[in-house]
Amino acid sequence: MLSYYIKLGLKRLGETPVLTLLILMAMALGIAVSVTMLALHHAMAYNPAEEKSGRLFAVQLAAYGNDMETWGEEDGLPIQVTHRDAMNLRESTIPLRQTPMFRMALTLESHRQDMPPSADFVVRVADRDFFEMFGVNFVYGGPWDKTIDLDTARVAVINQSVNEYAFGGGNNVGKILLMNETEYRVVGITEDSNPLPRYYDLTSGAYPITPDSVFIPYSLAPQLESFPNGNISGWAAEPVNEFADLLQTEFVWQVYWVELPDAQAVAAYRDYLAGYVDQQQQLGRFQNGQARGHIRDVQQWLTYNRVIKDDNRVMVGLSFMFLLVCLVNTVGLLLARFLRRMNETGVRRALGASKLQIFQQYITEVSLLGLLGGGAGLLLSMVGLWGIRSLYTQYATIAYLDATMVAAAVAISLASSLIAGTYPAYRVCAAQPSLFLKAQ
Amino acid sequence: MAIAPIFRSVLRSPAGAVLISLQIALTLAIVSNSIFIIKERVDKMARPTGMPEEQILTARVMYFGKNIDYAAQARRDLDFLLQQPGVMNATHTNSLPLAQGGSTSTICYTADSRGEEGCPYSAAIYNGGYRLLDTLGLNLLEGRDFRVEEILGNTFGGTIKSQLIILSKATADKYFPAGDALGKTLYVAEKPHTIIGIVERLQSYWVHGSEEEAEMAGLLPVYNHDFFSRLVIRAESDAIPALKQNLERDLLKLNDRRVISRIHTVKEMRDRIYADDQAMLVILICVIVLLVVITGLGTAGLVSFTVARRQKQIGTRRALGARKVDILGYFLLENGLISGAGAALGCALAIALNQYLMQSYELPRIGLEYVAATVVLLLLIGQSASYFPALRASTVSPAVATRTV
Repeated sequence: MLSYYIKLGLKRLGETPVLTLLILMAMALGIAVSVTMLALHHAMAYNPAEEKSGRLFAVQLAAYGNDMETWGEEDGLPIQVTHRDAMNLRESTIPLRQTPMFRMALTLESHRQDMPPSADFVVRVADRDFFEMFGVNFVYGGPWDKTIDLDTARVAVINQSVNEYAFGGGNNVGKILLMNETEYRVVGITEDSNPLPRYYDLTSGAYPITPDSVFIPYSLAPQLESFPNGNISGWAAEPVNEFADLLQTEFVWQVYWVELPDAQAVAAYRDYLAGYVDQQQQLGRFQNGQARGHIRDVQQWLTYNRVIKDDNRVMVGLSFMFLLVCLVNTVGLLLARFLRRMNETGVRRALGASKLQIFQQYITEVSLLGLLGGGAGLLLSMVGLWGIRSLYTQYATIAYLDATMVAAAVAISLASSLIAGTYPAYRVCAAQPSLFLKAQ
Repeated sequence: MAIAPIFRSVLRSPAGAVLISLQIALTLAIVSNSIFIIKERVDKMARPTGMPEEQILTARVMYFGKNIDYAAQARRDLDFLLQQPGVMNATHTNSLPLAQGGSTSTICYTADSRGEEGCPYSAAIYNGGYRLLDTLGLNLLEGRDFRVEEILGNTFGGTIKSQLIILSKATADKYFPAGDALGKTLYVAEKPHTIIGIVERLQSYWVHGSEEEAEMAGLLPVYNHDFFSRLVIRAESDAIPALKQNLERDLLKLNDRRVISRIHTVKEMRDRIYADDQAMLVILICVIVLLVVITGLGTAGLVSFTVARRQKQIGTRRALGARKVDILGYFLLENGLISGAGAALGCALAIALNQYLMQSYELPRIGLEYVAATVVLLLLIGQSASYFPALRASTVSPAVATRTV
């Protein structure tokens, strides 16, 4: 029976080409617009930490003083910590892994001929644990030795792009990288990866275009002469004339992450932070109404930092209203299409077809339209996402359809066609066949 | 023409009419709010920076060589630039309007002020060398510019030593609503700063906060040359392209232990900082166009259907003496009434949607003129969409009425 309905449906589609085209267009556009916006939202809401999301925690400290009521975000916590606190936190043995981090802009020089110096590579300063915590894959070599986190050395881990730029590719572990005319020994070369949103450091935008390309030990911080290239915030009027001064101040300018493998470690670390705040208060710091420490896992951190902009939410909402308009439109057009065939339906009813069979026939036809419209919508949403990628350079690498989104598109198109088709199909089979037969 | 028969015929099979009105109502809500958001963004992007924008060129200078006397090199660069054709002025600064990054300080009434009352606002602080005010082309309303001997060398947080400040009028008025800010003292980083000048307008480097925030800015006579600086050049607008093209090469000739990059005109800076707003505009315009097309075609489709169903009715009326124009008018009026009902519902929906956007996304209240304009637009679309089917209806021959009787 179903194959007969499908055949019938296909025949009908060709009979009224203009109406069919109008219906398909409305469905395809509605689906395309909503899937495009949903796919962008989906990509922006991605959590690159995946299964590690619940183990990695960003640490926040209300370390300000001067009897201030509140400072930082709305909850009275800044999203970054001071160098002093980072150094103290590093001494805790509770976390399985941990690292402070900040970003720098240094100028690289290439060993290749005709390659001009470049200030376009982002340099990240962090502890060795960074690589394992944030899933960085090595092609050659590996992270620097743990001892370097305490007893510093001028070493660097670089990604493939820097490897290409500086040496022309290949295994260059052990060679010298020149940054700001200072020599760094390359210990590892990583894959190029640009996890977006940049969950581990959201202070310079959640979707930066340039990936972190060079990594150097945090223990080098006191020797660095240039200022970090990131967010630096302070509540006190402290003079900072050179970078070394910044290390002594209450300015916050680095993000601190800990890896806590289980609930026990989480509880222990919370206690540790409470104790740390008490201890610092006795030393005269943390003199504020909010004094406390806090940790947030990756998903909480992404939400807290509002990585999805209001614009994107508004667009998703509008796109679904758009789909609704298309559905109302489709209901009207389907109604017109089906009622036009009332006579034929009347004959079939009179010849013994049940209401249910008529309903099935029309729903089959609607589902066919839904599949065609959905398919066209999926193709159009690829065009839409191409448009999004050219409009927003920061989403150029992420605004694509993934398997989830294709499944969502199929679900949306089937649901839409059923929602749009049920009422017209019901109207047709509920009508009195005799009325239409008479007119014949 | 009598409206009553139209009502009766619509009520006899209301589904089509209800669907058209519903579609118009939803379209009206979406389109009017989208147009309103577009207007907001266009206004936001059009805000002036206070600079003569077509005359400004800026570049990032990053030194990587050791043992460079940054100040001396800066001097040489400026001497060179000032000799170039068309160049009016040049200097260094930490930031400038539209730069996206820069430094913001809380400004207080007294040294020990705390909280909202004592330190009500923050302002973008541009730390610049001598001639920054003139290089940015700011319009000085009151007071004076810094003198060369007043410029202090210092860097980050170096507001400590300075004692003078120039504020934008918006900032000055916030602290001294009576308009007598000149000569008064405010505290930046707990140190007193005398307001020696007020410029008509100076936009913050960060433009995505509130409209108020974007106007809060000031200049401090503090600049320390170090490995990073931002060069600003003001030149005749027709000299800008050549300057831009040669800047990197020329400056590297003077010293090649540095990278000269991000050489931007104000237009390029605008495009960068407002890229997301621009994208939102394009998307909303696409949504509006598609919606209007779909609604128009949907209306045309449904009216054609109504016409097709009423062939006999039309034939009968024609046979009874109705002129073609009566039939045309009948269908146009019917569609007008249906669209009108949809528009009435749509106005309510539009305002409800705006209320929701106001609560959730801090959008301002929608002006009724946007709703009204959209109503007119949609009624016109509805009428044009039903015109051709209605025209076809009017050509139905009176003989149709007799054929199947």
